[in-house]
Amino acid sequence: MKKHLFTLALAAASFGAAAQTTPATPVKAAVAPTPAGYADLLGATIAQVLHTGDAAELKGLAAKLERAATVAPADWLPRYYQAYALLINVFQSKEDGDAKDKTLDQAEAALAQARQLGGDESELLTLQAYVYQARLGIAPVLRSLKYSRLVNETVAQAKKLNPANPRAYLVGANNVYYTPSMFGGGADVAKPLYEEAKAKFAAFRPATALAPSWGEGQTLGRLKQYEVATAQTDR
Amino acid sequence: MKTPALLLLFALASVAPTAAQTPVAAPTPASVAQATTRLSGTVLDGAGHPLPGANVFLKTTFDGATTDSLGRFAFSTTATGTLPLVCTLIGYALQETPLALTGGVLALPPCRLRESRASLGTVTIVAGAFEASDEKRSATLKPLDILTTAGAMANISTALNTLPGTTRVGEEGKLFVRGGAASETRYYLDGLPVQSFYGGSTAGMPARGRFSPSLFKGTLFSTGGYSAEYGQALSAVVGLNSLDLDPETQTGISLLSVGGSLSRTKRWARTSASVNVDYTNLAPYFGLTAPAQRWEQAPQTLGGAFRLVHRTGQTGMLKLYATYSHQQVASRQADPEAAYALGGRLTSLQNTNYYFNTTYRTAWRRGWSLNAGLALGRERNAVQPEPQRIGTLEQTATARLVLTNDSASTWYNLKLGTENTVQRYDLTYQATPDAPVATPGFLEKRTAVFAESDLSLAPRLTGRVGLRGEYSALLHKANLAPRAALAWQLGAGEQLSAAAGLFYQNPTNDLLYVQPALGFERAAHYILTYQHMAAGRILRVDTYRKDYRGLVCFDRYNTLNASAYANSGSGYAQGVDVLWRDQYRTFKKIDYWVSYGLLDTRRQFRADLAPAVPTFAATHTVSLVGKYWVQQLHLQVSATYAYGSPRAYYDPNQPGYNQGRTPSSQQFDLGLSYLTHLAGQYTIVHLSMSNVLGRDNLYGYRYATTPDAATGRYAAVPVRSLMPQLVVAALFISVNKKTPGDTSVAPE
Repeated sequence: MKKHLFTLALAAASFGAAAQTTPATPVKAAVAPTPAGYADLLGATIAQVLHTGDAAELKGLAAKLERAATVAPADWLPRYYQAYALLINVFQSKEDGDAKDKTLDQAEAALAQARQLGGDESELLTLQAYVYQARLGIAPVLRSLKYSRLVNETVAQAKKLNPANPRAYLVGANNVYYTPSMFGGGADVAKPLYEEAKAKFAAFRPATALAPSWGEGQTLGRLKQYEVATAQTDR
Repeated sequence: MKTPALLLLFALASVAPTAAQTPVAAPTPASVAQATTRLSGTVLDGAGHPLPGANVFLKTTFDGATTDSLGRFAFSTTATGTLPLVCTLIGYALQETPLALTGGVLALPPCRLRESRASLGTVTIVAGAFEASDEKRSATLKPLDILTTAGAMANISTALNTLPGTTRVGEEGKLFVRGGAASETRYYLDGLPVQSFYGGSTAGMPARGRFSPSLFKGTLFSTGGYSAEYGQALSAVVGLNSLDLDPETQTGISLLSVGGSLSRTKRWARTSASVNVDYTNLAPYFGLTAPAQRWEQAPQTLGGAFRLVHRTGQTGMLKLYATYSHQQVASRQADPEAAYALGGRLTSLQNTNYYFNTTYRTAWRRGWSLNAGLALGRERNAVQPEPQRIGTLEQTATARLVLTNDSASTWYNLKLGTENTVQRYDLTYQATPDAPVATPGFLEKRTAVFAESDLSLAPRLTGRVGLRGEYSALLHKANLAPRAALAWQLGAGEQLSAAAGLFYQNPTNDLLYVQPALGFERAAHYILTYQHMAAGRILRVDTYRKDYRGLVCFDRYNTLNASAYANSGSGYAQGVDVLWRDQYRTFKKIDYWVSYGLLDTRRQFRADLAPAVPTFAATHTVSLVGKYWVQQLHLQVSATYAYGSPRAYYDPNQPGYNQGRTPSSQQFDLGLSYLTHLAGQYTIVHLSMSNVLGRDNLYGYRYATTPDAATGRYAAVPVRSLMPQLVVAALFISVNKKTPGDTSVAPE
């Protein structure tokens, strides 16, 4: 009743870890010699991560990627994919919220290690944004305000660093897709964003064979859904 | 709205071909003839229980496995020679043992992992402390719980009154903690003491906190056993942490049935600034509801605040907050003195307050971080209970410097600090408008230093030791207050903790201006807390004992007799506090908490004639707070019920002291928030009603100073709240928000 602004409070409460993603100056990864067969093994593990939706298997693959990190301690990719595997595990797992939060803590720890190793900042930020989206999903009622904004901010940073990174556009589009239409979100608003992501994917060539390249399937899958939906309404 | 998680899951499932799994390309180094070694074993904890989920592998290879639910693992490797076998699991110390790979089958002895010591900062010692925070998992409350608690009317202390360990003293509205007086609770804003947290108030008018809860990202409410960082509080500390950078540029408009406010916030990349003005006037409200009290001047407040936050470098943060408020009220109330028996007695109040708080924090070198701050306060309070005129002017300046080293060692950290306060208090007193003016006053200069360390003692044992020393130039005395706390992690989310310490406080201003030659008042706290937190539920039980010594006493019948002032009082308080909170578990849409406090206390202090139960203590206190979110309607309904068992008062017409007992006090409050858009702008419509059932709570009696000549009895008038029931309607609009507020989620 006194000087209190309810709305300000709402925005305020969601403000917390806002500025924690200050990008560290990327240190060029020292080109350390990697054991023979490392790239093949890592490639196979990454392929497994990208092709499974099984929560337990993803946990196991994350452990394997942790092992890979000991094989080539200067390579950021095992840590990056470890984080990715843990993140997808959270979307697929049936565990309770606290357990999921702990898994995401581990994913963020792996991301931090990848950043220390001088990983691609735009890709790391995109994955961080994806982690925020997972955090939101654990308790949407309580977390929407804070994490929806964090996703947006982090995606914006990722795009700024590399406007050609298609994954940043995909994560951004997902955030809009799941925002209710009355707040400027929803399927219709998200559609052009997915199309933009699709175009970015079409133009994208990963720097190396193992560099992050996930997401095109998800984008095309979503656009396919739109087609199906349109076809149904037409009929 | 379906949960995004669920949708995302479907999305993923539809895209990821879950069935098609590329088989692992078996390692096929071309050269060596393969000598495959098959390894198997188990991973156990110190007590011999299997540990699932541990990662066991040969360092520098991909070969390894994760242990199953029985702690077993098995894998093959084609590596040869001697390699370190690594065994890791979160929360346990990594183990590395060299292993000769000989080929064939190798059954390993069990690998026993030792629990790693809890890393600092992961365990929060909860003894005595309730925390409202978004960032910490150990927090009991969220900052917005303070805003959305029915009956709290956006008042921090009222919201904290729903936690166990507090007694509701309806006629004062302040925080009374574990048998302590209101003056024993101290408020800190960003580590700096707040000179005057409550706005001015007269008898029967509950005081309100000066700060809006929306300013803070975190609140720590410690009901005892707090850190050496905090001094000058015998009973409790409320630590308020202000927001960092405001998230976005926007304009806020609040229209209330009793006033309104306007705010403007501007956000730049590294800086944010905001100003707001607010005005409250209860005259129209009381004009409508026509209460029995005769307001000569209904409560009226005009205030404003300015806040600036600037980020410097990577880790620096500069904050500046300045606020002003002016308040006036005058009421004519029944009075026991014969002279006012007919028309009542007029009391008027004018209060002008300025407060300025600035802090700077930054990481320094070699793991040290620096936190510096300055707080200035100036308050003028003029009270005129017919026919007296009492004016006070209090001015305080506090400077604080704290150095923290979090990387002093893996097992302990270090916090060193100093706090210097200069306080000037001046009083002007006239018994009648024509009487000569008495101008007592005092000047206090107080220096405090403190040192504190958090210690990780064993895998499940965390401790905190601290020492605080203070010197008061006014009292010519120094004190040394040791504090210690210990937390034993019983299991995931389960903690047993204990805290103890000595706490000193200067006698209050109203005592010091009469007699500055006094000593510190002292309390010793002993607290044992059990807390279990799991999956949206919290159970917490506190037991405590508090011993008071050196409380200031004076002559009840001659309060200005300086020679009768002495640190001769003492007392104790002991009890049990229980908190149960359940967020959307038992009931899908309901978040509620129940708190219960059992209090046994006696003391003799101030004008007390004998050791007795103080007037501000209730043996049993119960609060029930519920919040219900109706998603379809974008509506949150919240309700609070509070019960306080009878309190004591002194009836001079009966033998004994503090022997009178009031009826129990009960209050039921309702709040309603509706989230919507108004002309495209995010809007909250709020309706709040305190004491819905209109219960006429009686808080005691005031007696005349002299007995009636005819009957020989002391005349009495009952003490009641001047605002027994309050209805406030409000409209909060935020204009030009970039990120539109989501009205489909509860304003949590």
